[in-house]
Amino acid sequence: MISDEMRELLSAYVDGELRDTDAARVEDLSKRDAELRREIASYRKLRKKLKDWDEADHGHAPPPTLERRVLSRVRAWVGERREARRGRIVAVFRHPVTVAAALLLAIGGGLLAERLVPPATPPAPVAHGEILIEPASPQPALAVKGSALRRYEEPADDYTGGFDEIVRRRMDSWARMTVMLKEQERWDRLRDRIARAPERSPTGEPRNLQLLAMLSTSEAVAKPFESLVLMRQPVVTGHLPAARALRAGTRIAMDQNTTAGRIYVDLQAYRGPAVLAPLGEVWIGARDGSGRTRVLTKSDWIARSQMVAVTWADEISPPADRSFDLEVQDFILGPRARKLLLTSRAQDDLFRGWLKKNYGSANLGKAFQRGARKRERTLARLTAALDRERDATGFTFIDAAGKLRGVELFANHSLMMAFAPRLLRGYLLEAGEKGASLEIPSGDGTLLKRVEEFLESVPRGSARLEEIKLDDDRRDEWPKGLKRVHVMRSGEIIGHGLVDADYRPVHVSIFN
Amino acid sequence: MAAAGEALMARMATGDVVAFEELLRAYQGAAYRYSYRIFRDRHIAEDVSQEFFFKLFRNAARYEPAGKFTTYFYKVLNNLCLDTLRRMHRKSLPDFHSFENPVLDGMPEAGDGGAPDRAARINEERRLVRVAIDQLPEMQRRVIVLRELEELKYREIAEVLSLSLNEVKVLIHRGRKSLVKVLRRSPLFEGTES
Repeated sequence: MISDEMRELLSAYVDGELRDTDAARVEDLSKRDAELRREIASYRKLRKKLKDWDEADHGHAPPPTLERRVLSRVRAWVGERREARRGRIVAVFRHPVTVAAALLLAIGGGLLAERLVPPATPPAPVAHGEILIEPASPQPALAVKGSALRRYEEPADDYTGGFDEIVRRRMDSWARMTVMLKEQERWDRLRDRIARAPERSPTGEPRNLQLLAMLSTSEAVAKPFESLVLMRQPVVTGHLPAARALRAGTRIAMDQNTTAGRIYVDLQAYRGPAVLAPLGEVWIGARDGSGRTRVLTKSDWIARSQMVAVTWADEISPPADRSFDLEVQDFILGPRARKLLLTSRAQDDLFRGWLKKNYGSANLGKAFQRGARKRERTLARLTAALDRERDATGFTFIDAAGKLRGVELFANHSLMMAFAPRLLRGYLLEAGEKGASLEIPSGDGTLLKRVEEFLESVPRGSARLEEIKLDDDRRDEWPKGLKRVHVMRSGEIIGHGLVDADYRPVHVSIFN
Repeated sequence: MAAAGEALMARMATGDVVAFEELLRAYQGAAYRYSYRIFRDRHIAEDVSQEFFFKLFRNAARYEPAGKFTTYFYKVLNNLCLDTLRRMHRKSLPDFHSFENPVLDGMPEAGDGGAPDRAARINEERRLVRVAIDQLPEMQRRVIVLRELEELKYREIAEVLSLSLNEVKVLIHRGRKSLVKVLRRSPLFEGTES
């Protein structure tokens, strides 16, 4: 008599869904048991009968009308969507008041830009044949350009040269697009400014880092372009100073009267949003670049002109002049800060204003709920996009001391345009927290040597690694959550690798 | 084919109608057959298939290639079939008897060499199989269809029907057990060599 449990096993056995050990067990038993053999045979027979029945009953092809009907419906829908988009744009400019307002804005903006930036070189002509065909972009700002913007030909990725050069190339390519967006003049001015900038700024930042800072802060490019380079650029940066250049906001003076381990923050000079220091999320670095550390604040945020005590999270040797760069330029939210802020109350008007501007509500809870929802949706879409996009790329964030601070990845996907800066800033810090545990042994060699040492320490030859290697050509089948990253040195890609959801390297290789 | 499906979906997400045409040609047969198995009516199957492909195109941007494309494919299709059934105010699958196929039921199969006995026997066998499937509880029937006719793996069936792997195993086992039980009553089943 065959038990129910055995029948269940037999069913899975016939389907080839048993583990090897169970399958062997069934085979072994069936050799000795005639009833078992009959049962297996009857299941196989049943499968064949079902198949025969199915072929006879459903073997016919779908009606030819199906394809026609589906295609005509889809095409009609696509056409309707295009029409609707075009209609919206036309409707806006049909109203005389709107047109007048747009003109005034354009003139005002032009005058303002004229005052802010030096005279521009004439815009580069747009090569024929580059324009046209509507980009498959879900971003309305690009899609709405209709006949003026039909196709933007993204140049093939070229990673040769240093970081500076890559950025410049990208700017050139995007500058062509700005013609279509009628932003060429502004863009050229900015480019000209960058081109004429000295190799190093008075504060010592290299020009390419100034460039990044300008791109991310300049109002002239803030609207359409703030994320362009960060997004389209396959490599953002591998340097700690980049974070400084992007984020350095004010000086922190150590209070002479405080005991060791406590400092006060003077925000008199800070011009950014009043809120600076989500709890536990502030990094400060010595001005001479000798080190940096994360400090834990005692308040949820710091208002301008407010003296707030912060406590060292890690000890560093403070430099003689006791002045630091605070690596906060924008509101950086890590998971802990988000959690804490959601349960706190906003008191600062400037902060409320900033919240309203950025999140559409001055109510802290609502603002962050909205922000969190938006971010969640964006991340979900981006994740999906990254899974699809074969040229998704990213960077590792290695500081001047050779510590791997984190990793981030980007997709060459239009979705990134709108959200990259916020994601970048948020992720750098979050990744940095995790990345800190990936510290490499300190040594007296070059940065390359230290990076290579770190990379050598990455476990290799594990089952998982093998699996990834085998599946390298079938990216779609990579384990979910695995991300591809570039390894960088001095602004150049020196290798690539994969990291898991916790930013732990799974596989890293360095180019020869 | 699955990999191609994923790639095509990725292109469709950017509004690529050509990719959609390719996908439609590759998968319309599968969608139509599955719908037909559920509804046993060609017109409804065609309507459902049309709706399904339109939905697939419209929502392509939301597609996340987490698993095999076929799994996603059947999951969406299955859900659409269920929705349609609900709209038709049917609590369970249509009664297969109510959609008798006069062609298959009454005529010998082409290529059977005109042997009336054999043709009759084959027809009787098919009728028997259909009745046996018809008698299965709905979930067992779905699982059997996905396994035996669509040849999905257990894991994929679990995903399509939102069941646990164990539930799928049990349902398949029970479905087969019931089918064998019904079919064994017929000398045709016992007498035919597999």
